[in-house]
Amino acid sequence: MKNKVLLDTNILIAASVYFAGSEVYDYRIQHDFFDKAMQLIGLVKKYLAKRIGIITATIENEVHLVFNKAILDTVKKYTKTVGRSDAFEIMSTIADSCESRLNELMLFLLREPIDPLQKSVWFVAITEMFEKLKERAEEIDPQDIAYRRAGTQSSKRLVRTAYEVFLEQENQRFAQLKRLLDSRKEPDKIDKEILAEAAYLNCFYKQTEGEITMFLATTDLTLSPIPYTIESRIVTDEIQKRLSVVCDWPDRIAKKLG
Amino acid sequence: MSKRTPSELTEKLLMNMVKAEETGQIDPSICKELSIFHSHFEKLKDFWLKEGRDLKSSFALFHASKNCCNILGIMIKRFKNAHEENQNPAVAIDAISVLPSIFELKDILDNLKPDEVDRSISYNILDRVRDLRIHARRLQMLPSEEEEVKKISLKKSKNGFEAFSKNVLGMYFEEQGSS
Repeated sequence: MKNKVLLDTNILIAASVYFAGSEVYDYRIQHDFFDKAMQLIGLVKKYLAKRIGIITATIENEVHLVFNKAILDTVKKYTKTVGRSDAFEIMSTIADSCESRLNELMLFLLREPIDPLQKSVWFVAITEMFEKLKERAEEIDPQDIAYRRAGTQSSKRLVRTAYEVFLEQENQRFAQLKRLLDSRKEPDKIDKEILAEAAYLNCFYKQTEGEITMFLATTDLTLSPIPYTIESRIVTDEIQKRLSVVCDWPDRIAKKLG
Repeated sequence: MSKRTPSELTEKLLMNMVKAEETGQIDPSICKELSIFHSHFEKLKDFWLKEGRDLKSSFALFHASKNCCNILGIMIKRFKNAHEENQNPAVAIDAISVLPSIFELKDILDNLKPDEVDRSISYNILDRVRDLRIHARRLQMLPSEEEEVKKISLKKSKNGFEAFSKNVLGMYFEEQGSS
């Protein structure tokens, strides 16, 4: 079966924030998720002819917007530390360096056009899906589930200890779902747009190329599974069920496809 | 900038470029005219390095001036070496393609006052600089990354990059496994 991977904005940023001075200076600084992102991008480069890696105009615009914001915010903060002149010189060089790297990476990705009408149909469906998931998140009480499990699955003597263990497990299991109740962590308009584009592309490829698996590579914990001891993935599974889009971490997608 | 008005100078320079492209002969005045623009951007760069109350917008204007300066620096070098390196009229063709974006930025920078720049203008300028750099790189009108990095010290660049990386992480990412 063929595979297609839509790369979320955060993957492109993680792969671009890298500064190595092997010839000029002997040091290397990279984004915390750089290695994970590069495992996927390495695979995309290796199988370039298969056109696995995809971006859209929405992702491209968003990545530039995030970079602009990050650079301007860092200039403001960094000026307090090193003074205006040094902050300007250094941040200008860093902006150029990261942008150059980003542009080189994007040469290996296919920029797919999106039908706006079909995208908006998916967008409405995705908004409804998240509303229903939020209702579910409000109803679920991990403490109550842990309490009931401890009552039925442990002896009376160990009920308190069992409750603590079960509560930890239930908190992990529902962590991704509960994130939807936090306005800072729930998917915003752009996240939903990117999901709608992934769903549209999945249908488009199925019509034009036959059976495919559509991945969305993202480090967003509300979309990709949270890798606790008990993986938290209720939202990920619902997205896969409704949109046939598999959201996952870039390194894990690379392993599946490699 | 010069006794001629900026638009006269721009027009003269572009005419000389077109002539160079058509005849394969580079008029020596091209480098002189490019140098006038180069010094103009140098002055703008120094101005925005020190002036402007709003740091973010002053930075965007500094960044634009610096990049125009760098591109013009490479352009002048290529024109000077064009004969020896058999780059004539290729260099004129490349310059004609890049210069309009530089002139556009020049018009914006020349007409802005320090306190007039708001957030949307800063973002617009950064977007224009990015597009200009992509175009200039394609035409070999941009210094190499190593040349650009060389200008700042190891310690400064390292600390700056760490600050930027942390800021991006804080703005946009959460640590894996934390909730």
